[in-house]
Amino acid sequence: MNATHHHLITRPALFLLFAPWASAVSATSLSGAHTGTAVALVISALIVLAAGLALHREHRRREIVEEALDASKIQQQALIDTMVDAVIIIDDRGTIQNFNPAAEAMFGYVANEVIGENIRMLMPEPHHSAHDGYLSHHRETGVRRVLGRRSEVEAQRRDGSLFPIELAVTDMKLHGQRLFSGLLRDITERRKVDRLKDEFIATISHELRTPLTAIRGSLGLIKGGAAGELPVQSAALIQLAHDNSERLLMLVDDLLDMEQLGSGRMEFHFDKLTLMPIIEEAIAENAALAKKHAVQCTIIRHPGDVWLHADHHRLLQVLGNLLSNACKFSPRDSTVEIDVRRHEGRVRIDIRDHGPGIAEELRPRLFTKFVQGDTGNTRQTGGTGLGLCISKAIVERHGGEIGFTPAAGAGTIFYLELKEVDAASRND
Amino acid sequence: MSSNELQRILFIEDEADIQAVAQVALEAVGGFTVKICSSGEEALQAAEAFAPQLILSDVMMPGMDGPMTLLALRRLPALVDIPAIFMTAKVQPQEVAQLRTAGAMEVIAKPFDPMTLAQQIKDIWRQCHA
Repeated sequence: MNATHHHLITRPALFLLFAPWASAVSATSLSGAHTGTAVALVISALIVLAAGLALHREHRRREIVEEALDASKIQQQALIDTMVDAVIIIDDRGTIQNFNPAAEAMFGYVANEVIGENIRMLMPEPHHSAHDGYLSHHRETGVRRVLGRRSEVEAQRRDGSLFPIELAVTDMKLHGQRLFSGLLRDITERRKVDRLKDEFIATISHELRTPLTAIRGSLGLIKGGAAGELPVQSAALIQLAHDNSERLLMLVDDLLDMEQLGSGRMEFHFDKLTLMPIIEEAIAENAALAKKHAVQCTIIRHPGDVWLHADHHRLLQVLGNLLSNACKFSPRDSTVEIDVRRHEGRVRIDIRDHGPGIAEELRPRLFTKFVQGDTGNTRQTGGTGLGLCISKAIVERHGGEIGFTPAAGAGTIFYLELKEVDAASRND
Repeated sequence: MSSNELQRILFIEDEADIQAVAQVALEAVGGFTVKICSSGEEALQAAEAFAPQLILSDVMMPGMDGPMTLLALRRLPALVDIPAIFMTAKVQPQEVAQLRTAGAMEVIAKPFDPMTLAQQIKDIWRQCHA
């Protein structure tokens, strides 16, 4: 549009600039008497010519730039039109400027019906009423609420039905005008799949747990002699079956925890409590495993009463996880040392083993899912590979930190750092 | 109140296999006399005739759940002050507190250890009568 307009004005202007040059040449050939005038005319004609050429070059340069701009605009529009995600561009008053075919399919409007209308028409309450206020607030203060972020919101189709979308908004300035470009993705299916997955895991966990409880219970009774004395070989096999049923139960518990952490449904019950009795409880709960690996768990420093704001059950789970890991990877007849100390309002619990240490390649992903250390005997470790991942999530919910460092000499120190609370503070 | 020696336990659990394991754990290992009921409704019908000294109940059951069953059992004159223990997979402190409010004197975590279940119950019984 702009380029054509330019042509109309400049082409005749160029012709006019060239006209004096033509008349000067004809004047020179007709009469020698007016040499002085002719020379002056030629000089002025040359000046005019040079100016004309410069103007022509400038004009051509502009044409090229505009052609390139046009091409890029066409490309951009083609890109927007073929995008799988819906794209809606609005100005700073919320007026829709661009509505791509994916947006048409998503909302049930054709572009012509919505271009020039306010974006509010695509939003349900309360966003509907709030959006104008948000835009003007942003115009005046520059405060960003959705800009540059991905958010999940609800949108409204032409037929009034609502659906969840993922929205990413960026802003830009075009010809001095501020525009907002929104990329929208319908996440109805994703939500449905997430919900199905959660339900599936919860059901499976419950359905697995019941028969496993019966299996483990029966094996436990046989192993314990409740059904009579067993031949040595049978006893070994029953022991094997019992240990593995226990391992499966652990896996079910861990999977359930992972699912709850992932969906944000893990419940935490925070109370004000003292740390040391929980550590002692964790050691007691871990005693059977420690005995199996011929490892002694010892508290080597006791800082007295340390108060925390924590979930007893979950903290016990984390400590249990760290202690059982330490025992599993310890050489026989070694000790696992538990060092507890306070530092600037925080308490740090070091759990040190004398095991082989953590392989270099395992270190960066130790706290991710399904990672297991190799002791050269997988049966010896018998974990699920989820423990540390769950522990990390639990510790983070406590505002604490979990990590590890190689211990001087040999072995590994896993540490847990938690915020202390004032003994006199209120329970909540 | 009941005599000092615990003998008769009313056990309410909907899963047949868990019933079987608990029966061995309580009768063969623990030496108790156990009346097994598969639902709250069944427990309500059997309770008075059996005259239990202790109620041991699952929490999550179809129909009447554990707390509802206990509430109904406590309305029977003979069972007004019979101590109760719940067994549940959910051992979160909050849930334990709720179950205590519902009338349980103790909560045993599931899956239970069948070799120590009877002893665990005897310990709770002793504390209750101390």
